[in-house]
Amino acid sequence: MSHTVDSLKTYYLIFLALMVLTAVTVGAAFIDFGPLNISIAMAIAILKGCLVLWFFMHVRHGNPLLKIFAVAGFLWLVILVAFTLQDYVTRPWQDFEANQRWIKHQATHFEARAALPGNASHGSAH
Amino acid sequence: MNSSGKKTNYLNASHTLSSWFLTVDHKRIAILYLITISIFFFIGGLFAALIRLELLTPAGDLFKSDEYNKLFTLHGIVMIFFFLIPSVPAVLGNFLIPIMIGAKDLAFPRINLLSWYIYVIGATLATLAIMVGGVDTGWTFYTPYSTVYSNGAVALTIVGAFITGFSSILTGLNFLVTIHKMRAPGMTWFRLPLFVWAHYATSLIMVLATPVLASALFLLFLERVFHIGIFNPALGGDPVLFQHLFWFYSHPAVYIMILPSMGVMSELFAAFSRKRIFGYEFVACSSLAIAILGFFVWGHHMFVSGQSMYAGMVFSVLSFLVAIPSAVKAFNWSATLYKGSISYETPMLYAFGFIGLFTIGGLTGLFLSTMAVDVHVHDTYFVVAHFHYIMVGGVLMGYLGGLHYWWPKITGRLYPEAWAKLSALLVFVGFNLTFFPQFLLGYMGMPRRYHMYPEEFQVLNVCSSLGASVLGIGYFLPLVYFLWSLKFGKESPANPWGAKGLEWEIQSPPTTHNFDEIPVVTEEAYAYAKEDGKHHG
Ligand SMILES: [Cu+2]
Repeated sequence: MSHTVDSLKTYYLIFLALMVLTAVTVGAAFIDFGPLNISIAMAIAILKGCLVLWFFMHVRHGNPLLKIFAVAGFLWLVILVAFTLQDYVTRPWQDFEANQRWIKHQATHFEARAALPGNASHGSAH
Repeated sequence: MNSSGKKTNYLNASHTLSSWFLTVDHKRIAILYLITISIFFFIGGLFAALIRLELLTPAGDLFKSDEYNKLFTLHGIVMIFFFLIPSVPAVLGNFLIPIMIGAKDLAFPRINLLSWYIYVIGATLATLAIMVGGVDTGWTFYTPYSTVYSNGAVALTIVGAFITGFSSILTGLNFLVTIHKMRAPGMTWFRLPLFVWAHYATSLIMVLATPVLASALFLLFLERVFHIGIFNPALGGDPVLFQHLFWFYSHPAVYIMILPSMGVMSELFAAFSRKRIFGYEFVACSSLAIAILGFFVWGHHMFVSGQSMYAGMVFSVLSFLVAIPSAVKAFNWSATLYKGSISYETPMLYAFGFIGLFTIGGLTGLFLSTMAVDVHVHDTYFVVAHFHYIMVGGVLMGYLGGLHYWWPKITGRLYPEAWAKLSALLVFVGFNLTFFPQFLLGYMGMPRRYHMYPEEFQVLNVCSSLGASVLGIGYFLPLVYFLWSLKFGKESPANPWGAKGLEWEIQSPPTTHNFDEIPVVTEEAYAYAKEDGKHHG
């Protein structure tokens, strides 16, 4: 890995950016964006995380392999969030009453069969 | 120490206590792990024995319900977190990976030692907390029971498990960097032994999944101790969220356990059929496929948790997909046997046992990832039998097979073959007798985690307890003859099996730095010559 050193100025600038973004987060908390509240807070947080990784943690001077691993970390976070959300997002889609109706409908098939001559004993058992 | 013409090895290089407890030699650290892990294995086994003793009769005659809850929790936590997860990687991986790739040590020897200390501190803390304080949540720590209602030392146990996780992360990181950066000249990726490939895939999971368990346990801790609402509905939390976070780690954790054992299997099948592993590249890549696919299936543990059924469908289909790379491995090992010059030494017996048990465990996994069937058998002994077939039948067969195979390399001594064969047989028979009846019990509706059961289940439960005693003897025997062999075993030559691989080209036991000169690799792994087989047996 090359030994590039960033100037102090860069670090101060990034620090300033992080502070400004923190202020923005706090400010945004006072305004109601409705369902976007979380998305906005998360977007700012991700931006800040990227700045830290890219500059403070020197990923930008890393070799491709190092970058792949850094990206993989993010990708796995996306897997965690996305596959958890597929549960929460699709829960309201479920129609339990329709399920019940379907089960009852299937059950009539068995009742009809039980009523056939020769199957009487099965019918009475239930 | 030069009486037999051998150089001073890593075992007799020095004898002081500090030369062991402050060692940075990956081989000595492997031995430290071997000893501590064995202790935890026998602690976990002791509690398994008590569970099987209680289940001998339908009545709850030995323990009360809450004592029984603590027993199976202790058994689960100790066996999973403190034995199965570190078993193959921390002992065999630690010992063999640097040697197999032609390096003198791991990339970060001190971090390697640190990971052992972290493991010992975390594991001891958690085990003491459960034994003294009593934890009855099961190893899964499900909320809100664990955060609100359970009375035991849950918080302390979680701290212990949390700490141990870092040991796993550090080991994974160490392996990843080592395999990337320390391979000897000529040791290309597709010349690596499949054991190393399997550990590479395992390390990825350790590094990518373990932090999520740490976060989940940390959040649980916050809720339990500081009453911050995260999982408890009364505080505005969601209990299913804990299950998502927990299984995001704990499903891949099954692959942390089984993948290294699969790596051992590849070595055993090649060595004892004197053949290159059939479809080497496919077996190598199937490890990665299992590791990556394994991250997309965790919801199959949550089909009856209130998880959306649409999410359930996605998780179900993806779970079926994991069967493909697993089958690639099982079929390719079987194909390796074809026209091989097979010999039936103890490690190979374990390898055959692995195939049988892993196949049953894997196929019943397909039952369980079928949503409708899972509703019927969820939380029954069917599930218990399934994961024991994978985790004990699979992982332990690999661990013991590998331990026998590399024992001459690790200690420089040969173990008594006849006793070892007997114990391999006892383990296989005892295992099936213990856990096969549990499939039937589960299918008939016996729920897990109860210490009493209806009388019609007794016969199968007696079979299971009987099997457990046979299994216990099977596990106890190696402990005895391995220790015996240290003093009385015949001295091992460098390559007692006539196997291929860098580890067999150096003396047994190896010198502290493994190689005097870094070797130059010119051939692929398993370069068994065609006529090689005819010499053998
Ligand atoms: Cu799973």
